[in-house]
Amino acid sequence: MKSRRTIARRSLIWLLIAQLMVLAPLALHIPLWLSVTALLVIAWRWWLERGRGRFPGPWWRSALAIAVTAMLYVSVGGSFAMETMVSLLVAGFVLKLTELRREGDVYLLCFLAYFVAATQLLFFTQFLGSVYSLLCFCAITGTLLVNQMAGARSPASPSPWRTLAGLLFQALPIMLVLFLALPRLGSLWTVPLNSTAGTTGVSDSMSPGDIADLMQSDELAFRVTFAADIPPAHERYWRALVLDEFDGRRWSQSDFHDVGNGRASVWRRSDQALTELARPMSYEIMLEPTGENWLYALAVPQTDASGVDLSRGYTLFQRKPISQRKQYSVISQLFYRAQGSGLDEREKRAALQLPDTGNLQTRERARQWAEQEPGSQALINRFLRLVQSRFRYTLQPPLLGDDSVDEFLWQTRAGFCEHFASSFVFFMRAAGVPARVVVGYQGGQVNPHEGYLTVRQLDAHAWAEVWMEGVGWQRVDPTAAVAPERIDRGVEYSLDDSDAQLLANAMGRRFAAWGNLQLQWDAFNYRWHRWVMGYDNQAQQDFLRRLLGASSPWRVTLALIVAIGTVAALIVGWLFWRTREPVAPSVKIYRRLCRKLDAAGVTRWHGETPSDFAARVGQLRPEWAEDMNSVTHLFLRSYYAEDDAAFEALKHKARALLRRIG
Amino acid sequence: MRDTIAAAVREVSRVLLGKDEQIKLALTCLLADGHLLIEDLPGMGKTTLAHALAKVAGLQYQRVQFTSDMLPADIIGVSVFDSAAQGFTFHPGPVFAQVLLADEINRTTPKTQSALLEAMEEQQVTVDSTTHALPEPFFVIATQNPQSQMGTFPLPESQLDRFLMRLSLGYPDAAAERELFKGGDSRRHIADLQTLLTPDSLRDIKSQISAVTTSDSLIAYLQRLVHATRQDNRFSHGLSPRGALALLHAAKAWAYMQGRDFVIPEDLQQVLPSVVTHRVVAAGVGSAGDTLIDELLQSVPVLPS
Repeated sequence: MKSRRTIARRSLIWLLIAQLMVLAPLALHIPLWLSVTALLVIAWRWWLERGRGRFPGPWWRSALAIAVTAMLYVSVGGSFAMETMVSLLVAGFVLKLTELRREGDVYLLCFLAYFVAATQLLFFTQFLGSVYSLLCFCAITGTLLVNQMAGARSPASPSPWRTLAGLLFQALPIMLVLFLALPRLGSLWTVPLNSTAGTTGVSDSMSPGDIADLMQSDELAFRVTFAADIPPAHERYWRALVLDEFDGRRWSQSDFHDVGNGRASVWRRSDQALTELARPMSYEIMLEPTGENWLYALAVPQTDASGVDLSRGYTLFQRKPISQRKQYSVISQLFYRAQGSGLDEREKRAALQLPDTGNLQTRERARQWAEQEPGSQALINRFLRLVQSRFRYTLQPPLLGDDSVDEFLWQTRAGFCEHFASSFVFFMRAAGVPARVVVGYQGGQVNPHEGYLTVRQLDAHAWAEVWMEGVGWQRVDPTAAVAPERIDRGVEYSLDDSDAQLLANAMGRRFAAWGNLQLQWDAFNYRWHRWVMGYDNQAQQDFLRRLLGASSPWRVTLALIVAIGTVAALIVGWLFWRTREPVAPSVKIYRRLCRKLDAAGVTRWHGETPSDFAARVGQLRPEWAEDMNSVTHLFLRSYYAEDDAAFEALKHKARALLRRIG
Repeated sequence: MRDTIAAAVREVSRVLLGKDEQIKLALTCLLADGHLLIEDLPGMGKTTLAHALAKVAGLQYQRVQFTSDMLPADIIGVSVFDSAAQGFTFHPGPVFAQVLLADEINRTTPKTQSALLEAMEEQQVTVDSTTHALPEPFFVIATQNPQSQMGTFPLPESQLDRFLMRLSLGYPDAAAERELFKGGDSRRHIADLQTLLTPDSLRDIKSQISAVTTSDSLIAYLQRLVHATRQDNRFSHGLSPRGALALLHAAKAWAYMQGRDFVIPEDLQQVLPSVVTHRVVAAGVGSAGDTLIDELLQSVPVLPS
């Protein structure tokens, strides 16, 4: 039933503060004008409360609602994404204030506020975000409580804080049980989050400068936990894409390798059998949302994550873009040798493709070298020697013209990974050796607190792969030849000072204490993501299986009932224990005596008075009659007349009688 | 002083044989400033008890036989115009006695009943806007015959509440009855009874009774008992706070008579059936009511659980 009473000043203040708290973080994701409107409406409502101005009539309210909706439509341009829905929700949530007059409306608005506060969790998945949302929930519950108290018109309204704390404390065990045991329902539909569109990361093509841009971002790409030891840095090549089509400036995926269109060939064991040369590595990756559909792994990966396929380029991909943080485990074969026939025709054609024109000098030189050197391995070595002796690794390379490979190899000779990889692959192809560019990340920072690996955008890297007969695709990283410390220790160690300024978070890298703090915080967030945010259906099943032996529905139900029952019993027990009267020491003594007599065969009934019981004991056991009478007398005196002297005597006598009963 | 009371009980039991328990309870009722209702068949010694008590306690005794045509004035008294004094003079009725035996109170009309009950409650009567105080102490022993209900007006629950205790005497046991037969008419012996108490000594005793201590532990037991009567729906209604107070007061008097200056659970248990039964058990339940009270006493834990 809707209450007809007007709102108490106190509950309105609570409500407005709760609203501001709920809306504050969402302001980052809704249009700016909407945030401003929200602030204005809240201020307006406060102004109305102070008795200035009148509530708008129904026409005004409708006009306002229509105007806001129209503006929303215009500002998002009709695109349908989560942000739009949240904006609409926020608009309704705020405009409801203009007709908030009755106490009952506060309840409605509070329930709406819970929902709006829950949308924060869509955008903010960090630990602090969750803590903030929890604070919002507290504020809303507090509003409900204050409103309730105002409605009760209690003469002395007590402070809501105590009640609030009590309520939340009681909700805590239920929350835990529900979190752990309630089945995770998949979403019935999904609305894409716009926010991932702006995410930085490896893109599906590579032109000069792309990776240098990435290196200016300190943003997290993914985290890796290895089952056993972490492999050394020069083996940590996290591959994402194979780029094998070159148009003279830009590397992109050919149809053969294009994982974006979903047509990429899926690798099958029968296609190219691999011989394992070492024990495979097993690890788990927690990938930040990228909005793209490829995943990261060491070569050659294998995973049983659902919906994830392995491409012919030894990369992992899935059909849907990764819009949420994704956790998957991989087993990688780092050292392998391809068996059997070799490259099939289609793949070979793709791996030898070159643009029709341009970079003539390189083509010419490649042909010469191919004639002079006995095999592809010798050719590679010669190229790497060249790079090692003459080239410089820098993030600020001179600009390159149309024949970028020619200019880089024979004139400027300064660049970074993508220049090296790109020109190397071009050179190899020109020399008739199948080769391709692989992009992804290399290295990563080991977090000493948790023992996992953090890979950031500035670890972005490009390298090459060459097809060797009888060996298969062999990784060649020309960057390693020019700047081995880039590979072994990370990009920040391979640059001179002016380059290092370009890197993100230069400060954290300079000051050890600050960097350490960052690592610790990251470790904490990692645990949060891994154990709380990453607690999905699968994790739940695993957890329940470990806990209950199997996760059949009846077991879960039983466990739930037992858990809730235990909690309820504890609460009831605690309440009982708290309200229970303290037992007088004389009663304790008397009870001990009764227990002893009970063991001896004389049981005192509930409603039997001590004197009656003494008489009965005297009848049944005449030998104890005298002592029992005096003990009873003393007990009655000490308990009902509160006679301390009697209590002292009782202790004495009772002990003697207890000994006699034996 | 306590010896005097024990002597008084002995003295009364000389004429009412084998009824020590009831005599003690009746005396308790007197000492606790309450009124007594005796429900029993005729000829069980109700009058003897009342008369003997009055005699031993040194109190002035009156007996009224209630009939259906009785009017309030028949009990309370009446103002008559006195021509010599040129004014109304009040002629006090039988109610102006220290011990009043109201025999077969259920025979008379509710109007007359309530006149008496009002006097019991207020310790005074008002006639023609003049208030006359009743003698001190004022102890009413009313009787009613539970068997023949034809043409009677049984006291309603609210009126029953005015009586501190309800007793029934019951048949004497064989030995007592043999003594009775040998001794002849007991009424004659009443005159021979020794007067052991005086109104002054009674007042003294009463002040000592109010000094009897009741510990918190005992109050807790009392509360458990009261709570049980309110929880158990076999009782027609739970014990009222006034009823509980009456119970506690009676227990104090009983404790005093037992020679103690503090109350123990026994005291409560001893007086509880006569104090509580008529307040919580619907009329006409009979002996089932006693069973119910027995169960109550057995089920409520004496010591805190």
